[in-house]
Amino acid sequence: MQGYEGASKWANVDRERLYLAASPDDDASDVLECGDARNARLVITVSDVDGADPGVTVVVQGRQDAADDWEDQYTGTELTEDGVLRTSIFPLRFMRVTATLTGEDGGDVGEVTQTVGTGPGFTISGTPLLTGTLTVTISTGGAPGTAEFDWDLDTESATGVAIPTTPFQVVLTDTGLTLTFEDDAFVEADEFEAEITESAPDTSASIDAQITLARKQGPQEQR
Amino acid sequence: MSYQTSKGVHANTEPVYLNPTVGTSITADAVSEILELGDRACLRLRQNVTANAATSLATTIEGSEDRVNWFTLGTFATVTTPAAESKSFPGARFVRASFNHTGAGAIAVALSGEAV
Repeated sequence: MQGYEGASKWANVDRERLYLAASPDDDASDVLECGDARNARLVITVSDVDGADPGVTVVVQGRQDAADDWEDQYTGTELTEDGVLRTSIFPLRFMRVTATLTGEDGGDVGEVTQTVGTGPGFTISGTPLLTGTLTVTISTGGAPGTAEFDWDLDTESATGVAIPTTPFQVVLTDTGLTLTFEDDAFVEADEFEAEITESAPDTSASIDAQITLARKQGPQEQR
Repeated sequence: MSYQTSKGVHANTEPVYLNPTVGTSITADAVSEILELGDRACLRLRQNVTANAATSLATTIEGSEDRVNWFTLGTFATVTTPAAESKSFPGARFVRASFNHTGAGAIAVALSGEAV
C-alpha cells in the first residue's frame, strides 16, 4: 500500500511483508529493498511454534550492498511460544528476517565419525543433551577390569583407565566434542574418535513480519 | 544523487563521505569534515578498515545542532583487525565522524554511505 491519509497530512509510507517458515533448513526470508526509507516499523508475528523444547529468536538483518555481509540490526527476545515482536529501526538499503532456532531436543545418539586402526569395539548410547550422560560401552579388546586405556574429551582426559565391567560414562559439556581412545598397552588401537553431536533442534515456526517503511515526503505527495 | 530501486521506484538518497580530514590513513585521533544533513533523517554508513598497524580504532558518529556542541549518534564496533561494518544511524542537522586511534602505527579507514 502506498501511503495513507494521516490526521493532518499525507503519510508517505510503504507497507511490505516478509514471511519465513523457520526450520533448521530455512532460516532467512526473502530480501526487501528499503530504498530511501528513513525508518522501518516492524510488527513480527511468530506463530505455530512447535518442537519438544522450542526456542525462536528473530533477527532482522540489513546490508548496503549485495556483496556486503549481513549485519544484525534487531534481535528479538527468544520466544518459546507464539508471540508478537514490535520494534522500529533505521534500515539499511536491504533488509531480511532470519530466525535462530534453539532447543535441546536431541534424540540421536552420538555418532562415530572416524575410526583409525583396530582395537576394541565400542558403542555409544544415550541422548546427547548438554550436561547429559553419554554411555560408552567397550565390548572387546582387553579384559574388563584389567586392560587399560586413555581418553580425552575436550579439556578433560584420563590415562590408565581400566576397561570397566560396567559401561564407561562421560558427561557432555558441549556439542562437537571428540572422545578419543588412544593407543595403550591393552587396547590395540591407534586411535578411536567418536564425535559427539547434538542433533538439530526440531523447532519450527512461522514468522510474518509486517513492515511499514516511512519515506521522506516529496512535494508531489503532499496535500 | 538518487537511484532507482529494483522495483523501479525512485529512491531519494544522498551520498555521504565521512573520511578523516587528514586522509584515509591515520596515526592519531582524527575527525571527518562536518556534513550538513538538513532534513535528512537517517545515515547508512559502511566503515572499511583495510589495514591496522596500531592497536584499535573506535569510530563514533556525532551530531550537532550548532556545529559547536556534539553528541553521540552511535558507534561502530571497535576494530582491532581489518574489517568492514555497515550500520545505520539517526540523523542530525550536522554530523561528523570521530576516530579514536589507539596504539602506535597507521590505520587505513574509509567511511562512506548515504543519507535518506
